[in-house]
Amino acid sequence: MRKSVIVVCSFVLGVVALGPLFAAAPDPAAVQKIVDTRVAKYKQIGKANKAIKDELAQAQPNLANVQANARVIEALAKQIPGWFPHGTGQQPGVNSEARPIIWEQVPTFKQRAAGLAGAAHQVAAVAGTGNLDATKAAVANIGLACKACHDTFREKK
Amino acid sequence: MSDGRSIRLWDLPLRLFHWSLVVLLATLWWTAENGRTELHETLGYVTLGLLLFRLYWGLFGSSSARFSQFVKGPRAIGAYLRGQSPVSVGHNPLGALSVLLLLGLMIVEVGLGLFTQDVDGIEAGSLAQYISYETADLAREWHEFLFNVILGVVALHVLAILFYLVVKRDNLVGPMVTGRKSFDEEVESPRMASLANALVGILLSAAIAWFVSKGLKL
Repeated sequence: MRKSVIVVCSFVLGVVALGPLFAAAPDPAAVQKIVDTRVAKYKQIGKANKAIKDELAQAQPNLANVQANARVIEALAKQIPGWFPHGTGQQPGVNSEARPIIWEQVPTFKQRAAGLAGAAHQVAAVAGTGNLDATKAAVANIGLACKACHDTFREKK
Repeated sequence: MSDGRSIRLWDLPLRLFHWSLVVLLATLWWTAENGRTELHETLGYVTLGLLLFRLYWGLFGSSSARFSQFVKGPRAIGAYLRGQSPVSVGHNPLGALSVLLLLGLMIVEVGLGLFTQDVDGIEAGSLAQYISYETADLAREWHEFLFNVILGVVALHVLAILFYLVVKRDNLVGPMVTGRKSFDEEVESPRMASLANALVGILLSAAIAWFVSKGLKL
C-alpha cells in the first residue's frame, strides 16, 4: 500500500513537473496534424462554395442544391473557432497560414466566423423561397465573409 | 546600318500584340500577387483574345508574322548556328523556336487559368465550373508554377536581345517599336496584310475570347 502510494505520488509529481515542458514545446508533428485537419475542413467549405457557384451558373439552377450546400457551410462555419486551439499557430516545424493575431483577438475572430455562418444561413433561407436573384445576392455575402476573415487572420501567400 | 535599305518589317497589329503582351504579363503578375483576382481574370480573357489573334495572324497575317515563313527545321537552325544561313528578314530560325516556346507556354498558361480557382472557391476561371474542386485546385498550382517557367523564358528572351545588341550589333527592339529595319544588303520586303484582314482576325479572336469568358454559354 505504502509502495503504491509512493509510485502514484512520484507519477503525479512527474506529470506536474514535466507537464509544462510538454505544453511549452508541443510536438510539431502533432500540431501539423491539427493544422492539416482544419485546412481540410476549410477545403470542404471551399468545395461547398464552388458547388453553389457552379449550380448558379446553370441555365436553370436547382436552388435545393444551393440550400443544401449553404447548410454545409453554415455547419462548418460554426465549428471554426474550435479548429484553432491555443498553440496551433505558426511555429518552427509547422506549416500554417494562421496568423498569431487569431489568438490575440479571439472575440473578433469568433465574430468573423459567426459572420460566415450567418451569411450561409441567409443563403439557405433565401434559396428556400425559390427566389433566384435574391439567392445570388445572398451568395455574394459568403464570399465577402470569407474575405473579411482572411484579410486579417490568414497569411498572404 | 543607317545607310542601308530600310524596309517595313513588323506590321502594326504584330507590334501591338507584342507590347500589349509585355504590359499584360506585368499587370497579370501584379494583380495575382495583390489579390486583385477579378481584374486578373478580365486581363486573362484579354490575353486569351490576343493569343488567338496571334495564331490567326500566324496563319493569315503579313508574311513576317506567318509561322510557315519563319518556323524552320533542325537543318536550317543548324545552318544558322554555323553562320551559314542567308540573312533573316524577321525571325531567324533559332528565334522562331523562342517565339513558338513563348507562345505555346502562354497559351497553356491562359488555358490553365481558365480552370483555376482561388483556395476559397470564390473566384474561378470561367471553365472551372466544368471540373471538380480538387482539379481546379491542381490547375491553380500548375498555373502558378508555369508562370515561373514563363518568367525564365522571358529572361532568356531579353538576354538574347541584349546579346544581339551588344555582341552582334543588331538592335531588335527598335524595329519592334517602329516596325522598320535597315539591312546592309538588298532583301525582299515582307508582304503586309491588309487592315480588313486584321479586323477580321481581331473580331474573330475577341468573339471567341468573349464566349470562353462566359463559360462557353451564350
